[in-house]
Amino acid sequence: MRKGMDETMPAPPPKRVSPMVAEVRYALHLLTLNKLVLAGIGLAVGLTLLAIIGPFFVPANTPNAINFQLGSQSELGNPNIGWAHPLGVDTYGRDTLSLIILALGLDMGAAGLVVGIGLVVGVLLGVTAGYIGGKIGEAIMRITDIFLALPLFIWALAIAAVLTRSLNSLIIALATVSWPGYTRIIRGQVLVEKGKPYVEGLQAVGVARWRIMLRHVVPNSIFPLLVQATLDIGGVILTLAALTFLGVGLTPLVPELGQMVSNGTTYIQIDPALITIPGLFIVAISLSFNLVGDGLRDVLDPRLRR
Amino acid sequence: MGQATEEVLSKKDNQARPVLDIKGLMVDFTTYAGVVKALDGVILDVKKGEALGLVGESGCGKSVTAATIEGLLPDNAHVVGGEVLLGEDDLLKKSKSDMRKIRVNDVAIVFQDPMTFLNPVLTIGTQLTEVIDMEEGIVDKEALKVLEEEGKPKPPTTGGNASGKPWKPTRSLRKKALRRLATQALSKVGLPDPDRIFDEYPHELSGGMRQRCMIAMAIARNPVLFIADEITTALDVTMQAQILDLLRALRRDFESSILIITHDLGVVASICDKVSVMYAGSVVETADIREIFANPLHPYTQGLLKAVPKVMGEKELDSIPGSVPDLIYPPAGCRFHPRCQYAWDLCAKEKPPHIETAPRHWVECHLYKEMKTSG
Amino acid sequence: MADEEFLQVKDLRKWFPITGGILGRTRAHVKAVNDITFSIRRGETFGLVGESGSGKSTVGRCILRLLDPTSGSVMLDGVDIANLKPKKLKPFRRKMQIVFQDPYASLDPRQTVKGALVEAMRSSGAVADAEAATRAAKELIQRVGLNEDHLNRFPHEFSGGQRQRIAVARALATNPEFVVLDEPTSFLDVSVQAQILNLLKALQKDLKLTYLFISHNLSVVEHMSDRIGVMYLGKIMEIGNKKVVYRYPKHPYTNALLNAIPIPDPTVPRVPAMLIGDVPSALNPPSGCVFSTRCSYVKQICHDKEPPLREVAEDQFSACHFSEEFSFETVISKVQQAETKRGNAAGAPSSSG
Repeated sequence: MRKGMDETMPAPPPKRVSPMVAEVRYALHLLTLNKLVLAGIGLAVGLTLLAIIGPFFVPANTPNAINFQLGSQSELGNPNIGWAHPLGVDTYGRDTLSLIILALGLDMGAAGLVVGIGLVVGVLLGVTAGYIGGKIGEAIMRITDIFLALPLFIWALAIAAVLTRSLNSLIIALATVSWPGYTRIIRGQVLVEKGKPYVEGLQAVGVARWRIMLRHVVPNSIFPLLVQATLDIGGVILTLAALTFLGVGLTPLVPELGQMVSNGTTYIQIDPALITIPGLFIVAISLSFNLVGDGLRDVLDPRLRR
Repeated sequence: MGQATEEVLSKKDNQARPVLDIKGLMVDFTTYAGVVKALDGVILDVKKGEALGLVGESGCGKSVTAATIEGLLPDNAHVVGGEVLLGEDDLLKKSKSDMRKIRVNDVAIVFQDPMTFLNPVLTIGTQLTEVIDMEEGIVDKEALKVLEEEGKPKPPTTGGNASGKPWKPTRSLRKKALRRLATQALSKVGLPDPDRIFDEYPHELSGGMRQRCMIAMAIARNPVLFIADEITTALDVTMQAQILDLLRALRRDFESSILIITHDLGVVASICDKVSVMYAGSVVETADIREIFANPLHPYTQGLLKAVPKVMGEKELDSIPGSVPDLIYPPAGCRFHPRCQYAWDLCAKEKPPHIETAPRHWVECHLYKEMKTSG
Repeated sequence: MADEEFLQVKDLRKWFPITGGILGRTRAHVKAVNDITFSIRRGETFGLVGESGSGKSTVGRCILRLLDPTSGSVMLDGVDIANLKPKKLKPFRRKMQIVFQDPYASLDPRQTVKGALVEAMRSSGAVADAEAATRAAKELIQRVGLNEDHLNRFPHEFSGGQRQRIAVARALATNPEFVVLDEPTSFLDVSVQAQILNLLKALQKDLKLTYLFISHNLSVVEHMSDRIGVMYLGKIMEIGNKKVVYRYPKHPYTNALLNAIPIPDPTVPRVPAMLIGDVPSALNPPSGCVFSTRCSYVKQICHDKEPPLREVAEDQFSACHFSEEFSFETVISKVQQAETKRGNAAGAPSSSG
């Protein structure tokens, strides 16, 4: 036997990819195994595309194109409403399909912003609480607990009611109630990562604390958070629609799904389509993102992994 | 004892027939990354009363072999060839329910980590008595003994009681009898204060004590084969010494055949009669314990023995260059040939046959083709 | 080899508080390291052995200030680094490094090998700029037995042994003088272990390193160390030259420990286990001598008075009241003598195993 230090690489090694890419590929493979999840992904992608591309085909002033005469004939199956309005018109005479397309963009964009802000704030606070800990960490977690102790919807309602009526107020209100969940999740993940030897190794080598936090710990702990965020988009849409339905936050002409349902409640007996069509889209967005989030969560499940 | 055990022991010519005989076992695993050809023709046997050490490094397939014997392979595993004979029965052909019975009665296995094996919400006593109670009649016999010792009248053993049914002990009598049997088993494995341990939960005991409880549960049914899968790996040296003493004592008293799976050559040297060395899915060498240390034939065995620090003040350790092969793309021919200093072109083409080079010494290596003693 | 005391640990203590109740009051302490004193000479390998719960890994971490000691001092080249404020500690961080036990968890899975090495070099100030760092990284990776194209790969693409090589390279990236090896080969196969141990020995010679080798594997420690220290339940039981301690220990625990090693040689007679029972909890160590509850030579004084660590033979220290009365000879000694006799009888020089 050769007294040597040499060691050959096992053959043949798989194509060199970064762990993130390899993980994403594997995750996609696992996702395709569940038909329901696939359907959800398809729907979510479809709706997102519609929300992004659709507005280019819709006349920009649609929200304000009021035509009461047309609107008064909006009841279901009225032959006066031609195929120019495939989904009919609302009580203000505006084309429902165009409104839906604009509303999709507004709702999904708002939800994305809410979740995005929540993530940023949540991650910053959670990482600080987890990595630095001590009194600061305790303080952060106690505030988080306070927010989580009350039903989020009540919080959001209260905040939105106090602020001026606008989409921005709604977004702020919802973002304020979404960060605590993320803080808690990522703090837990950070604590787990902190205990791993590679963090000790980095400390031993003298790497600065903030660098360890941001460049090493966060990327390794962020995946469960992204799963939760995806699930949350569905929830935020629902909450947003509920808030606007209650009349908190927006004015009647704004193309927003909850608002459209709210507008249609008065005519529920004459033209249920005014409610059901926007309602269906709310369900569609919510359900599809829920399925995607569910699928992602399954991907994380260690039992299903390689 | 189970049916398979009785068959093994009842045949008069059983002295020669091994208790466990694995012939050319081949097992594949289907994974996302590809098909892992984990076992590539494993050949080994354990005779009655013998202790066989199965030695190898990670990935060699020793745990897969144990799992196959026990019928505990995961769903993505497929047996693609070979036989696993327990006495005369091929375990591979048994149904799942048959294997369950065999696992209980004939082949006991003890693992490295007792915490995953023992139920954390049940006391040791509950779990042990559950195993003991599986044997018919044993509790009744003990119950009678209890009555006798307490001076109470013995029930009629024939003819039944007043209603014509055969006598069955009361619940409290059963409990007493089971408790006695269990505490006897616990003291047999060297646990002090078995009465107290009977009522304790697994997490209240230390690692070594839990390991002893597992052994007690395993031998409670007098299995014909006892498999110990890396049971001392997680233990401290002093605790390991105690467990090894226990195994040696049990061997003396019970004549069980033992299959000891480990990567530690020191453990093997201290307790085994025979050793089988595994590498990348096959058994590359089998010999008696003294023979294999004194006269290792396979280049891998030689390398392994030279790489182990022997507390003899050696200056440098010989290492085997390279590393264990990827079993999704294993080397062709002999799986060890990329790391072997004696390899030549035949080694890359053909898997070497299992040759007996001397009485009770088998090697799988092309170097020894000329030395075949038996046809 | 200069005999200077390079690292001196004196009365080192690390007690972990156990808090309880709503107010989080400290109810008790886990006395993981309890008044440890020993020293390491420049250029030597000091082996620290002990079973689980002995506190040996905690000692390593305290020396490196990955944990802050509860009390005591650690003198490195004359400076007490145990009590330095973090800012002052930075230049000393460079001098001492650590290689961990678990090759799979000791590297950031999302960082390339090159990234890890360069980051280590730049954070410690060992190199001036990016170019110098890349050059140094190439040199370093070859020194540990891998080659340049391994630099751009990720940890999961390597085997356990290769990952440990990378961990060693990362430790060497800061040009340290002292390396703590915390069970570096416990998770590795025997043949890979041999490669890594050979590598460590070669590096020690080439780079003039001082090692603290922490392990529960007594055969590996015997192979690697010059002197050894035996720990039990947070205290040191014995310190001495390896050759002497492994053959003629002066402490009953050392004797029991060494006789329990399963030697890979079937001709060696088996010694029945000398120690029964389990290690007591570090929450409530026995009074007097911590080993008194399991010692076969225990007397009343062992429960009453804690034996100090004192010199009981030349350069051999033991924490036992009766060390001078013992003349233990381990089974290892007997086997080595038999081996030498065999070698002499055969006329050939005695083989090195």
